[in-house]
Amino acid sequence: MATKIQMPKLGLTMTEGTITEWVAAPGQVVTKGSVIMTIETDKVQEEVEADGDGILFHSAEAGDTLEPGEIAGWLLAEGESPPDGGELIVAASSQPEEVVSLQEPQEDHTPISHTETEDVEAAPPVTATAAVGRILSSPNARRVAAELGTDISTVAGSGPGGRITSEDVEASPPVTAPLVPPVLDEAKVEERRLVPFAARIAAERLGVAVAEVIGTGPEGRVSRQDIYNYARSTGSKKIPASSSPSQKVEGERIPIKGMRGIIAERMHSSLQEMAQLTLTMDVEMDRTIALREQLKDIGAEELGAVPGYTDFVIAAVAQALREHPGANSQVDGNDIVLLEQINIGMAVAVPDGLVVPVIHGTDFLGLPEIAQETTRLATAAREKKLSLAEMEGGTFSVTALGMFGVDAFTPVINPPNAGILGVGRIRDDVRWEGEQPVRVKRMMISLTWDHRVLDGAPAAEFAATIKNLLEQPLRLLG
Amino acid sequence: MAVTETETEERVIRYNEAFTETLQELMREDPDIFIAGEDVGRYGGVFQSFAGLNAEFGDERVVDTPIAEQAIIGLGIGAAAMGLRPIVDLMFMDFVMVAMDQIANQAAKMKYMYGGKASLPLTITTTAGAGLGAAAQHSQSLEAWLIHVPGLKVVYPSNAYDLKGLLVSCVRDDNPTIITLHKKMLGSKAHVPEGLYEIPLGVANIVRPGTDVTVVAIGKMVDEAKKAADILSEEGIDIEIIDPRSLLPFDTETVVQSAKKTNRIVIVHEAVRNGGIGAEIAAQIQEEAFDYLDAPIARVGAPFSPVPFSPALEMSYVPSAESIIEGVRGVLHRIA
Repeated sequence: MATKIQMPKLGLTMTEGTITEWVAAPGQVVTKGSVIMTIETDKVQEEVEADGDGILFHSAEAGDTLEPGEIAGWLLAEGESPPDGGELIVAASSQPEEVVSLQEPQEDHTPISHTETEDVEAAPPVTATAAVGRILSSPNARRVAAELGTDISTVAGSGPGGRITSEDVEASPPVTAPLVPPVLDEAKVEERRLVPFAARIAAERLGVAVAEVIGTGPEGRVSRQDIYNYARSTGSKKIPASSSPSQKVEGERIPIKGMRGIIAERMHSSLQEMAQLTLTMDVEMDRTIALREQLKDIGAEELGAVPGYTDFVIAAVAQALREHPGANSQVDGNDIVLLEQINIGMAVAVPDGLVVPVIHGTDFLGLPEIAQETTRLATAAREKKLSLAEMEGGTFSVTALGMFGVDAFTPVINPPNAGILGVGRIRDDVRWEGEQPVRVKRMMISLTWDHRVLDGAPAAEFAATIKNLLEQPLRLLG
Repeated sequence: MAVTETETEERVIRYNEAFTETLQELMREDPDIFIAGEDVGRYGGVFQSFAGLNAEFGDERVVDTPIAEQAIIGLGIGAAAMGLRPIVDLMFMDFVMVAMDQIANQAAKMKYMYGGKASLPLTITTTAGAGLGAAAQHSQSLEAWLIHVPGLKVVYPSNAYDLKGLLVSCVRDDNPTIITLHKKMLGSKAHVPEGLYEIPLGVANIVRPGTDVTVVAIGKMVDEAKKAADILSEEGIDIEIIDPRSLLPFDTETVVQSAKKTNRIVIVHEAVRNGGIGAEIAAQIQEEAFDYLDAPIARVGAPFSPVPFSPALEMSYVPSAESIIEGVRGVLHRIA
């Protein structure tokens, strides 16, 4: 839970105090009793200690004058946002004391949360869950979703105004195990016995009345084992023999079919047939960010669309592929075919899986045109309106996970391509200029390629070309 | 209890005849029962619903009254309080306003005001509904006014079989009851057994089980809902029809169970939608089954206007199978 850091009231006559210094930096993990800031009133100077443990968030700056009780900052738990707004950016590492940094207002980050910013709007969204505002869904749809363990934000609604109905939920695969047990009948509720969900589910499967089972756990808690023992003692035939090697795995079953089946088949064969490996490389993004700011100032009206960061990456990849035709190839029989067209596919997460619509002739498109095309394709993907032509002919793919706080990962090549580029988040980093640390924005790219086609050195050169283009992004405007 | 078509040699009679026969059988059984109302005696009622009763039971037990509805209901209340079992008739439900003080302030509250010591086995019979070209003052459906009054029981039979069973329950009930007949249904026929039987008040009838949408239909609208069901079933839409039969007490349980099953509700009544009983039923459903609804509860009713006299306008005014189908498609979000 977030704990307020308030301007203290030092004596009856104190009407305001000024923060003279934040002793603890934003994002720093502080413990109870440690000094976090100093304040001064018209009479005294005072150190303010932390009331508890947590990650420090500054709501007010040093030099700000606050009334006693006004909020100067927050102590937050990991992953928590300050209740009064603002956003804490936490690096993917699990060592918060080293990697926590703060997002300053109006600054371009790729937020780790699902909060949609204008950046995400311009970049091709990789997930349909980024929508803000209320999800229109019927009460019954929400009930059914809770029972099935379906994330309702991943379901496409067919009702008026896109309202999600229970049928839509049922047609959409659950993403997690059920969050709540099946609705129990009143008799069972009246028992008020301590029966964990797992035991209830086991009882339901085996047709055992929970009321008849004697619990062996604390306070008579009925465990799943109790249910099994009881079922065995009554000779239930449904009981799985624990010694049987063909024991069926317990749990909800989701058939691998439809889109999930296609993804499973393609990704598995991709990894089986190719010699895939991944390298990662850091890219300094300050100039791309600055250029994007300028493009933003010009505006979508004049440009057609303001490119997002993924659009910059796609443009850079398209240019880099021209210089490195080996990466824009595919294996056909015993030959490597260097492809003439450069058609970049972009991975778009949709409610029940993933699609890769293709930007045809990417290398002939200007940045704003790429942005327009990615926006259009992402929208069509989420509305399931992609045509076959829009999904075919890709020669290389780009996939972004930066919005989830991911820096590096090992993307899997979309066959028959020979490579795929993963895009990480934009993060604060430090560059040393002599003895002087300078704050920079960095982004990691993850290149997976097929070693049958390309060796490590040319692959690294290809990645470096992408890096150079993004670090000198004016070249992308040519 | 429901009418089954497989029975052989069923006796099929008209709604109106079922009413007359039930009164006759009840009066033969219980000498405390008498009837009073306008034209119910020698003339046999404006719809001949009381035909022959005066001849059999005489002027003492089938009483012609002056045109004074307040006095007719007051007569019934006094007689009931003194131990008789009166059946008093309001020729048209539209006349209920004249007698509303007697109904709402006296009949409905007497038992309460006298600490439970007064029982009031009074039955009020009346006719409602449009379709006979009887114009704005003789065609209304005003059941919503009555269900707002604690102390009354209000029933609305949708067929001759239910009419008999519900009328018997009303007359035998020791509290004031109002039974509403639909004028346009007087000639409709159904299987009605000879002899008295009761249909308990407050128990709804699942007229047609279904899975896709629940249609709660009142009075004559049950027939329209059945027609709608036949048409919709050809499109693969399976509606469940519930006839509440009693509007007060109302069988919320049956309707809620159905709502939990189909997740979509259309309520249809002939009365105007605004402030109609559909609003009350919808409110009760969402209180009990909010988490089971896939669409807002739809109400099909007459437009908020007096009943037109012009036959063409009247026909379009009264809800029909078509308007029910439209309501069902609406909650399914399907267009024909």
